[in-house]
Amino acid sequence: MLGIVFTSLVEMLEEQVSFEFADEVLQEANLTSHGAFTSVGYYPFEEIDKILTVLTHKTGKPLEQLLFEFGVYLFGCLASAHEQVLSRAHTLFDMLEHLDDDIHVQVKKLYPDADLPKFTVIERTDAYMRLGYYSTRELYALAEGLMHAAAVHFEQAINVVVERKEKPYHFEFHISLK
Amino acid sequence: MADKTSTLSNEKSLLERRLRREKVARSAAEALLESKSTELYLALEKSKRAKKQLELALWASQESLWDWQAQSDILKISTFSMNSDDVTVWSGTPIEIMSKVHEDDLDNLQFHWSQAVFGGKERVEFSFRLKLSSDFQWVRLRGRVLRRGNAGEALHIVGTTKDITTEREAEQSFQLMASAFSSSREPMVVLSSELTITECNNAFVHLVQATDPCQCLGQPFNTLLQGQKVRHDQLNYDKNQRFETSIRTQQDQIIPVDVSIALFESHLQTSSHLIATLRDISERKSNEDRLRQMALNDDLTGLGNRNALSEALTKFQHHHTPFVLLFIDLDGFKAINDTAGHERGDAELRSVGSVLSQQFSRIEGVVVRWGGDEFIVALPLASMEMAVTQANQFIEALEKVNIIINGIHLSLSASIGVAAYPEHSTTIEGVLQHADAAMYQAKNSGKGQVFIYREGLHESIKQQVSMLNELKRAVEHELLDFYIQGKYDTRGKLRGGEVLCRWISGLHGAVSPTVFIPIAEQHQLDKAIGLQALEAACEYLIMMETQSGYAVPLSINISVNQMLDPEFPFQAVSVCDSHQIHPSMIELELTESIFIRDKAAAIVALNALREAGFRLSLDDFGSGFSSLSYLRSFEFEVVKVDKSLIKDINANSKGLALFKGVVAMLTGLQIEIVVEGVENESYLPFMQEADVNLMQGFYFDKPMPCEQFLARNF
Repeated sequence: MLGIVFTSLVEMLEEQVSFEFADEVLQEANLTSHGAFTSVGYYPFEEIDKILTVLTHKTGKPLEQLLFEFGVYLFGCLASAHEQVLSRAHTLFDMLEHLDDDIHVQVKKLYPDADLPKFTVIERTDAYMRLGYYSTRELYALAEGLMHAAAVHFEQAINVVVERKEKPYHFEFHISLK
Repeated sequence: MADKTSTLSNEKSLLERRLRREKVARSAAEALLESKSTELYLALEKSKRAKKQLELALWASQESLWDWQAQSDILKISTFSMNSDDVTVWSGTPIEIMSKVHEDDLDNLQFHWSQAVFGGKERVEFSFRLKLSSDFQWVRLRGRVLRRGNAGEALHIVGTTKDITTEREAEQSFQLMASAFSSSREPMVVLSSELTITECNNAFVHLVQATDPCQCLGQPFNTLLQGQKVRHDQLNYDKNQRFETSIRTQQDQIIPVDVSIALFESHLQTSSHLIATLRDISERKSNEDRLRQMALNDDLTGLGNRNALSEALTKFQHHHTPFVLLFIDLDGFKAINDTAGHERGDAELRSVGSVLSQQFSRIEGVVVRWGGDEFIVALPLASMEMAVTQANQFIEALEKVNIIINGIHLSLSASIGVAAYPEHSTTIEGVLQHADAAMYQAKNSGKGQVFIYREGLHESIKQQVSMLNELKRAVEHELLDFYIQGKYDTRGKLRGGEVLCRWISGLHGAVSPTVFIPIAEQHQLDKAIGLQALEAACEYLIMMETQSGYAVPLSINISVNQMLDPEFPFQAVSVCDSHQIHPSMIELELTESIFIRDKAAAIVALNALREAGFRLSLDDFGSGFSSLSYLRSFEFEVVKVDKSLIKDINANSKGLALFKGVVAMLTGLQIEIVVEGVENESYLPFMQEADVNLMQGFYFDKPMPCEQFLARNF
């Protein structure tokens, strides 16, 4: 998993709680990397898994809620790091439409082997979009958070319903504009 | 205090941990940066090499790269070289290029270009002539639209271009060849090395009566041929073959053709193909068949003639087949001819012919007319008894034929001589002579008899029947043959012919004219021979006319006796009239002895003939007295220079001078010159130099039967 996800998560903990809390979480998680993350690095998924487990334990919040909140925060980080990607789109749906061939290309530049989730537009109208999502990590709640933050960025409001498909790791987002 | 100290120490260790994490993260980022930049550098180098390789490939295939962008409307053409930095770039607007394009190609170029730019066509490909220095060169442009605008208009097109002048020239020459092939009137096919038809032209489609070339393509050529086929294995050695065969058409017709086939190998010899040219020879074949028919058939009766007999007997001899020969001479025929005339006589001969056929064809006898009222029947594998029975049955049948002329009953019979091969003679000529002798004996024993040859008969008959009597019979029964020898101009073109008398006697075999002509003259047979020669000449002229629509004049030899006969001019004109031949087509050859005999009478006779329209020629000039005064006495149209005058002129300067003198003199007198005895090529330059009109001799041809002469020249 891309380093910026880890650095953003640590940053969020430091900002929204405290340095001490962030430090505690990293220490308790007993990470192979000892929490020394860089945004351009690439780290095993198990590392974030461990951090999230410690967090749910410490905060008492469900994992999905944690991921959603992190998604909202992560959008801000990504938006400032990759401003030019966002500037090409004017609406949420436009951005989602080009997610795979635009944003993910940036990731592939540094990590040609990166295991990225896949987004496919199945259906699109002016106010509704059905978006296919495939991820072996099943981080749909993170994606949902990202979407909400993006909608805010484009000054739009959305309702999202997640549907788990029969095929493993396959999901569908039903996104409606409010 | 202790709490404060503890808090401080906690904060310190928190900061230390954060610092450590930052340090580790920084060095990890630096290592990543290092490895990525190395990777990037290597990739860049690799792509540079790939680009150079691409440029080299373009350079090697003599292609240049072009690139057009709508925004600038500039077309950039880059030409690469082997050295990495040496790239020649030409750039300009399409308008600038069009100013150098051949005017005939402008429309095509504009059409293709707008198809790509505005017409939504992705691929661009066209050729045009471009004036580079002084000459136009053929250029081919290929490319693809890379990017289009919102309205579908092309924004960016790239591609390659190549000078294809050489290819175009080759292509044009190929097209020329291909059109020559397809429009040729000679049927032609292209075959694969396995002899399968891969191409054929319209003439071939027409020949095989197909409606479409597809009906021929893919077919093995040999299966179309009937009879001789292409010898595949032999072609690799010979490279070409020519043969006559037949081809089966789509309508199952068989057409005789002449096939010429040649092997072509491609430049690299990786593949080879064959081109076959065919010629429809049906017309030639049917002419040949007709001439063969004519050569072997007797016109009057439709039976075989002497050639047919000789062919059949030679075949029997070759296969060691014994045969019995019946020599048949009609009794009482002369009376019919004399009473009722030639035409009636001819009709009776035809009916005799059919009686003969009825009698002998069923036992596979070969029936021929020997000449006049004489016939010969050859019976292969027949016994003597059977032959005699058959002969008697024939006489019986013939005698039953009722002939009424002017209310008078006439009858025909026959005397038949019989001889067997190889019993009586082992040669064809021998068995013929023996059968003829036996026929004489039959005649002597009374009419309507059959006589079998017995030893010694030939000799004893020969003693009884002198050559004179035999010649009389030959003349009376019109058994003489008239051959033709051609007369040619100095370019070798046939201009005329001389009719020459030949005599093949049953009893005496072939007798030389130097022997029988003096006998004929001594006994006044020469006049009849002269008239028969004239009749033959007239018939031959008709045959030439019928066969090919034109004829060459023929000459005949006329004896002094006949020339001086006051009746002759009338007779000669009458013969010509009855054949509807104009006398100017006949040349009468006479010798100077006529002037020795009676100069005054000679001049009278010659003038009469000239008035009738005949051409007159002085024969054997230079052999006898050759008195020049004869040339003054009478103006001959033609003088035939004797062969003794040109003998050895190629080696003898005196002889040459004399010959040239004679020719000059005759030319001065405006007399046409025919040189006789031109035996070989070495004479030709002298003849051309002396500017003689016509030549005759073995170099051109020997005297031959008319049918053969026609087949050769017409």
